[in-house]
Amino acid sequence: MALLEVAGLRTAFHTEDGVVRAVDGVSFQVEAGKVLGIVGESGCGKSVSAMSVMRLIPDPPGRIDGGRVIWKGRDLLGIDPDEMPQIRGREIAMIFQDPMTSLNPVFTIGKQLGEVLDKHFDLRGKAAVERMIEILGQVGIADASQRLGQYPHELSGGMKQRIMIAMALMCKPDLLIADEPTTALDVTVQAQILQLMKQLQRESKTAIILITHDMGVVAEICDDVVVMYAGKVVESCGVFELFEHPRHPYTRGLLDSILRPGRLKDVPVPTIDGVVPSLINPPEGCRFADRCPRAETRCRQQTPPLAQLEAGHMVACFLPLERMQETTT
Amino acid sequence: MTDGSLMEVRHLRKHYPVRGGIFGRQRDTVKAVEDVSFHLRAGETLGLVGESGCGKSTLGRTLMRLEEPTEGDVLFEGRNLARASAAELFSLRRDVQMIFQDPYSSLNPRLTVGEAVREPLDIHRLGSTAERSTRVDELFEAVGLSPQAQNRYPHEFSGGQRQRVGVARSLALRPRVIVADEPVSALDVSVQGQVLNLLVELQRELGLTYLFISHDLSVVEYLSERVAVMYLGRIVEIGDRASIYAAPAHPYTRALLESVPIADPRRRREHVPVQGETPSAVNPPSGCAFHPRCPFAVDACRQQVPVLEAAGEEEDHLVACIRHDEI
Repeated sequence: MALLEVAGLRTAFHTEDGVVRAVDGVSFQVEAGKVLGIVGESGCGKSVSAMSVMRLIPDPPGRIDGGRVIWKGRDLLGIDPDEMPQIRGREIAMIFQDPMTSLNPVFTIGKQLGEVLDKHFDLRGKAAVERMIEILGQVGIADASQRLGQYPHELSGGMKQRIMIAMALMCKPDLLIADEPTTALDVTVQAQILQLMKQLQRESKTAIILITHDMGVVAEICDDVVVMYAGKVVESCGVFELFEHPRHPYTRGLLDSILRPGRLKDVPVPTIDGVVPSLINPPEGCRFADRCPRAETRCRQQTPPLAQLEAGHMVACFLPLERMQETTT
Repeated sequence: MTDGSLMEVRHLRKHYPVRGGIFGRQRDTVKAVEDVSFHLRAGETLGLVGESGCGKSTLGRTLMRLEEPTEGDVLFEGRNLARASAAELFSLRRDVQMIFQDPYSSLNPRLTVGEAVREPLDIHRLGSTAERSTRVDELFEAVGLSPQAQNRYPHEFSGGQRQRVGVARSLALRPRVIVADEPVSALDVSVQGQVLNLLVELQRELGLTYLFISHDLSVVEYLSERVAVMYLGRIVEIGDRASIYAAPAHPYTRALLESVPIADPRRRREHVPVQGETPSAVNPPSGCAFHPRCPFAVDACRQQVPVLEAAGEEEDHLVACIRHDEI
């Protein structure tokens, strides 16, 4: 059984221009101890999906209009909102692209970590400090006792993200949701943080949902992948399957447009022509149809359901690509 | 000037004072750009790569005289951008133009994009009113935007289209050199490709020379004939793209290249290429600024600042590392 099951999730934002259907019938599962990547370009709904799971959508303007989020046998969308803070942090932790969204600038690192230990574990004083130093050591912060007295602005971006990971892991959550955790970091620091996340997932068996726009990051750390486009899941499968046998034309287009080592300007970069449709009154049918080289009449009239093509590989396309097709052009 | 070079940068420095205390006295100096020299060959793309805070953007801005250089020369066809008077600079700007990361912040929101592209022509009083309009039409066509788009405002465009407007504006005066500072970094990957293809196409058609500043090693590899790597204000390695990517000579360049995640799950890394983070530029480490993170550092690295020297057989491949031939 999956650790987390999201089914038919729908989240909309009510704006002056109309209703933006940011997440429109999204389903995916996270297996215990595994890393699930949710990948897509800006505005595809990947972050909103994760925020919906945590019930962190600001209402108004946002609203979760439907679906189920099954966590340990309970539907998180149906429980009393007062119960969510207990689940958030304790059972499901979250880290963001910008650690400053979660770190309070006016308190020291020690004070903020201490609060978590106090609230969730009744741990104070010397015992709390020892636990803090231990956990900071685990995320690769050597001079931990000194860091506890520092304020967030005194730390580098990479250091702040390590603190966030430490804070997230202090409660030994079953699931960590990481929303673009390395996007704001330099590439050498990104490599360190990804390695840290891999190591923690292996050692503590924490499952991770990693939200990213970067296929390199997906390849580096994920076990399973969900590809989103314009508020919908277009493909989901294991990471090797995705990179070697993409079946949705959008996934294929995305993989083709990556600049791989050795690619030079003598040959133009394959691109996906056109733009993402507006999510206010999106067109009928498949939302990728206008940009899809394979689209036919049916694609513009009916919405292709997310269907299993073979074991563990779901695709929302009437005309999926064949297996074993070359992924380079 | 070196043969075939269109622009030459010599010993460029940009230092910023750090003030503090109640009297706001200068307490320190940030050496954002420290003794940087290189040249641009006509028609090539030189990729300038490095992580945040390495000084690559400051270098671009100083070279354009958007920041006053502390020291050094920027020679373009016998004229010195670094010392040019306001009038000389005005005419030099026709030849050297800049593209920014987010055209949204560099385009005036109250001007239609047509007016924005036309503005440089108005400022430099080039051609008659009718000729200017024709030129704007040409520019829109050249960057793949419809002429009707001219009457719309920047906010009505997607990021990719906005960058096309930024490119059109930079081309208005028919420049020969374009300094592009992270022009595709804010774009989604499918759109990034469209803008890169456009830049390549324009370079071919117009014979443009690019200084392409980016943190993205894959984009730099794709576009550049030559590559310079910066770390804490200095160029630590420069050479042909092929040598830099296939045989990086500086330990930092190696670490940088190894850190890029490859979009292939069968090529996962099992180790971290380099520990630590770039230190502050206020008090950079002594000697080679990379020595605290370098696995090959010896005592001498802490004491002497390495100078750029030949990395091997390749004539133009230079590296600033005293141990480059041992490692």
